[in-house]
Amino acid sequence: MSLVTEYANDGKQFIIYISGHFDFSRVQEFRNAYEGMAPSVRQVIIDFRATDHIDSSGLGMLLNMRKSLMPEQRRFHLVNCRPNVRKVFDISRFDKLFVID
Amino acid sequence: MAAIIFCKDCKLTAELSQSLQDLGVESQTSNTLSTFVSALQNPAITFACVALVATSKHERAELLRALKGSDTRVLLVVVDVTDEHGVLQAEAMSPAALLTVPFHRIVLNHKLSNLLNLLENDQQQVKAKEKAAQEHRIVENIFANALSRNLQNYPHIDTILLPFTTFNGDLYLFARGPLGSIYLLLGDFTGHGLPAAIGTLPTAQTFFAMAKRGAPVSKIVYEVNQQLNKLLPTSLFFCATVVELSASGRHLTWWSGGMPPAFIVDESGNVSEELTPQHLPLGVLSADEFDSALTFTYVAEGARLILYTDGVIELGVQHNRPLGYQGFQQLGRDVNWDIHALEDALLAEREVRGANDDMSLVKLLCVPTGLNPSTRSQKLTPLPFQINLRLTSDVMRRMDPVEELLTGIGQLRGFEEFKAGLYTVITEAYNNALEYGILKLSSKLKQQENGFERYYRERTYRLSRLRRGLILIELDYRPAENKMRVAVEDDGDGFDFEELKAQSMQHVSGRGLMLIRELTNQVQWSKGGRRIEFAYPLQQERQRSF
Repeated sequence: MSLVTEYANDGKQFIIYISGHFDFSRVQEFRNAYEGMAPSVRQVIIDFRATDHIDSSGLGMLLNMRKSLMPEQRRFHLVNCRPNVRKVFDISRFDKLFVID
Repeated sequence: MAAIIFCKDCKLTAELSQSLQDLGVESQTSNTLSTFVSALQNPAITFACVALVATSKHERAELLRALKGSDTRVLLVVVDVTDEHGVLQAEAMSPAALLTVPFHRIVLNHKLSNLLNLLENDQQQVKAKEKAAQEHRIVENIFANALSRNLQNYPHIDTILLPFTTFNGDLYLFARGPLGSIYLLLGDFTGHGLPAAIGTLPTAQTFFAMAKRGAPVSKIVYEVNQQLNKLLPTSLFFCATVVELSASGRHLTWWSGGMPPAFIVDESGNVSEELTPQHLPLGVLSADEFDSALTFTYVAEGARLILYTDGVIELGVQHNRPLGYQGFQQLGRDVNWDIHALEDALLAEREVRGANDDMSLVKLLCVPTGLNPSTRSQKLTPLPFQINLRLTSDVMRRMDPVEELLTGIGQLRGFEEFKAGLYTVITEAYNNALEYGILKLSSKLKQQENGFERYYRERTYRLSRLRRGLILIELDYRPAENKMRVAVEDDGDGFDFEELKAQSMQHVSGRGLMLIRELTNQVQWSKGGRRIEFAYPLQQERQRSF
């Protein structure tokens, strides 16, 4: 269980890798990850390649992040989702709020 | 070593034989053609000495024919200096040396001694060459094996790989990730030939192992860099571009160090974007200095990614006539990046300009990869079962019972692929029972400023003090119906589930129940909102492969 972040493309992109379960047990960790983010970031990319499970609290955390970072005109990408995670995003109509790939 | 001496003069035969013996070489002697010819077929005989003294023209012609038809080396031919025909015939036998009679015994010894030394050197060289060739074959085999793990028959990739010598200092690796993405590495070790190719093995091993695990590109380059930094001498390093194309074909994640800029060409063949390298080559920096920062690039469907090594644009550089970046792009545009036409054009350029380095080019079409996530899909167990859990406050406080439960169920045959989906819906039902039924939390809290974090802090706090309450989880697996029936019940006050139905997904609360409704069938509430039941479908998805 860990959450790893890195900057990409000269600090214009910020990637958060979430491994294991993405649920309420990660609330604080997840918030800390993006709160200290550099102002240069234009795109926030959440990489779910190692996320095996997500629940509604995970959805809530993503919506919270979006709300808190939105005023900076940033774009949010949810990438490399496993089928079950992708399905949860799809039925929650997250495609209206995030770029899902 | 053993020799055959052909000689019709007894005294000369004895002299030759003695001289060879003094030098440690055993010899057979023969004074008839037939014995000589059969001795030539003896594999123990290493060389022949022939004396043409006292032979007829016919015998000389036969001797010559016998020697031409044999692999046996002619070391020395002895001939009378006044015998014009003999000297010409002697030369025709291609001996290592000629000796004319009369001669002094010391001259013979000296000559034979030198000739034997030469012969021995030759034999050693032949052995060394054989050994080198054998080692070469072994190494070639090892390299071929290392690269045999490259993904084969993927329809959307084309390559042109033109090594300058047997061992390619350019390296092309290609693999699929577990989520259906593909990984591509194109690199160029400094120099060419075997010394350059030596880094291939650790690089390929690391690349394939990490691609199989679905590691991000940044982790792969970090690991390869560390390996090469430890392994290679300072003068050797590895220029490389490593790319992951997502399963959707819509984005590239890439890292590039020391390579000429890769680029993306649009449908009309024009360069729409350059992937300019931002890093030093792999193997140069130590692990703490290394920068693994990636770039994310979105691509239009049908765009083509062109990767190549510097051998391509430096074609002809040794004659101050390099093809160059612009020249290469022009070449590609002229044939709209058709791989066969491009290869022909590059070969033609190489013909004109001359080769001096390995050349590699990869063209990747950016479309959905069509590779399904790999699952170890097994047939579901035909054994029906029920599991009934009575979770007391003690259990709720100490563990995540859903995780425990699903870890166990995941072990049952065929359940691995449904584990994540079951986890989601059972977790939602359990959390609903725990948070509203037992802990009496209000979802209104989530809607306040920082309410989300406060809600979960409160959850943790109340749970830690929980001393009463009961939650039941009942699972009923019915193989014949391909479903798992799930019921979750708490002993709280219940709630108004009709009102919940009306809430939309955009609201912070109620989202969990929405997930249950969407992911399962036959959702039913009872006991005043204290019990929820639903059926989770266990439909196995078929694997598609190309």
